[in-house]
Parts: sequence; structure tokens; C-alpha cells
Amino acid sequence: MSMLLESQRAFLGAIFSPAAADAAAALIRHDGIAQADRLQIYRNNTFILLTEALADTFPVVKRLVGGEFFDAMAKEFIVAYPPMSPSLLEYGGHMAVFMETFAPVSGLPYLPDVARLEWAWTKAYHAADAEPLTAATLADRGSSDLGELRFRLHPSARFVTSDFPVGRIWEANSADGEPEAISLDDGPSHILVIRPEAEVQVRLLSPAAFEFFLSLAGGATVAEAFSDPDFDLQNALAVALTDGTFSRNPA
Amino acid sequence: MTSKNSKRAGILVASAIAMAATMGVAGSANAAEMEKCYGVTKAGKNDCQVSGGSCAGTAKMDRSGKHFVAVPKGTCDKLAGGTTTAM
Repeated sequence: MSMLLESQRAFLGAIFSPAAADAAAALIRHDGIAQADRLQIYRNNTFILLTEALADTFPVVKRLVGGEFFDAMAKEFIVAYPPMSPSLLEYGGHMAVFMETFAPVSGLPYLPDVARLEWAWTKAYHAADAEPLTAATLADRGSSDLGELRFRLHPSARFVTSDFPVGRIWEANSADGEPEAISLDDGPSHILVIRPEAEVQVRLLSPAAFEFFLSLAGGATVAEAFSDPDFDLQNALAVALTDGTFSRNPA
Repeated sequence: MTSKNSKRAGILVASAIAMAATMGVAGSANAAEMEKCYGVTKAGKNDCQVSGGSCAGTAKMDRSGKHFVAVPKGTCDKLAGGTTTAM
């Protein structure tokens, strides 16, 4: 192993685990400022920056638990799941999984799903752009075998389900929301997160509409996805053709 | 293989196309004014960012991570059934 790689690994280990600081001691000068204090400067900045990135990705979680708690939780998260990518945009995907076994939030069973929704929001925000499929484009195609069409969802589309009303919890606790009393017994959420243009939308769907769009996303034809006879297919599709749910299918 | 369900779905798709045409395209009006700003990320997500808190970098961090006693103190107490007390 190269000396450089070895040095970098020792330093990284010392940042994330104070117990491993001795291994990096030989790398650090100690004139004027003690070795441990020099290392602490790096450690603090690493944790502060990562905590800020997490707060930026999970603003609703932060509002729900409060800033002080969030920062303490972030510190635990960073140690458990240090970044594996050089891009901060990729950081935080394990937050929901982390929360599921993090005892201090065990009393908030909906919180991991709120984190999943916020992560979906971030992924949708940074997803590829796409030209929306419009009714006019479809009309040009002609009317034969319309039931066999395969719609392509916009590349930003993300599906989130929860046993809890996390869609409403998210709305009420997002930046311009007003925290309100919500009963956790209000039932499950079926959410489509999508960014047809510049703004991410969090759409709360009926279970039937959710299943329909999920099937389409999986490559099903309209006829195959149309399994619930009570589902208002016409209205759902008409709305989807006006709000950019689908991208223009090159096939 | 145009099944009965496929025919029915096809008719509904045709109706949807006609219906959408009368609804107008909601997106097209704001497409121009909502041009995405490439390269602009949410605050705090700039990978080159140096934290504003870096001047506090020499301060000793509290290392009592093993004794995590904080409890949530945010808006979660508005949610019925959501408890703010640790187990």
C-alpha cells in the first residue's frame, strides 16, 4: 500500500473515531497547537459541514424534532454512515434506515417515512430534465390500440408509501406550512414526488392512482395497469397529460 | 391481442386525450419563467463550501455521544400518538 493512501486512511479514521486518533498522531505536527487540538479542528469542521448538509436535505425532520435534537442525531448518523461519495448531494440516503434502529426516535414511528419522503424530494430535485408528453403529441399518434400504450414517467418521479399520513405531516411542517394537529391514525399515504419543470411537487394520490402510476413506471401498458374497475382512468390520465407526469416517449 | 380490457382502456385513453386538450397545459405557461438554474444548488449543498461555523473549529466538541439523552422538542408534539418521550 502506498504511504499516501495509508496516511489518508489513518487520518480519516481519526476524524470519524476519536479512539483511532493515535494512529494519525505521527502525521500531525504539534508546535504551538497540540496534536489533538489540530485534529479536533478538522473533526469539528467535518461534522459541522455534514450536519448542515443533512439539515438542508431533511428540513421537515429537523422541524419535527427540533434543531438541538436534530444536530445531536446528525452526529450519531455521521459516525454510523460516513459519506461514501465525494458529492454532498449524495449524502443522507441512509437516514430512514438509521432512524429505524435509533432508539431516541422510536416514539416517532412515522419519522423514517418523513425522511424517505424528503430524500425522494432531493433525488427528484437533482434528477434529469425531460420534455413532457402532452395531449397534442398523443393526438398526433392516432387512435389505434391506445390501451397498449406504455407511458414513460418523468425521470424525476419517485414513489413513497407509508402507514402514516406523512404527506400531510410533510405539508404542515415544510417551510411555508403551519404545524397542525394530525392524528397518526388518519391512514396511510400514497405519494408521487415529481419535478416536471423547476419545482418539486409532492402529490398525494389515492391508493388506486398510486398503483396505476406505479405499474406504468414498471413498464406496464395502460390496459395492464388498469386493474381497478372503479379507478377513474380518464380523469387521472387527463390530469397527467397536463401536469408533466409523463415524459415524451422516444420509442 | 386486443383484449376487452385493452379496448376499454383504449377508449378511456382517447377520452383522456380529448379531455386534456380542453384543460390546457398547466406547465407550458410557467415553463419559460421557471427556467431551471443549472449549477445552482440548495444552500449548504455546495461541495466547495467552507462552513460558516469553522471559526468555532478549535472548540472542543462534546464527545458524550454514547450518552444521548436529548428528546425531540420540535413540532412533533402536534401529532397525536407521536410521543416526545424516549422509551
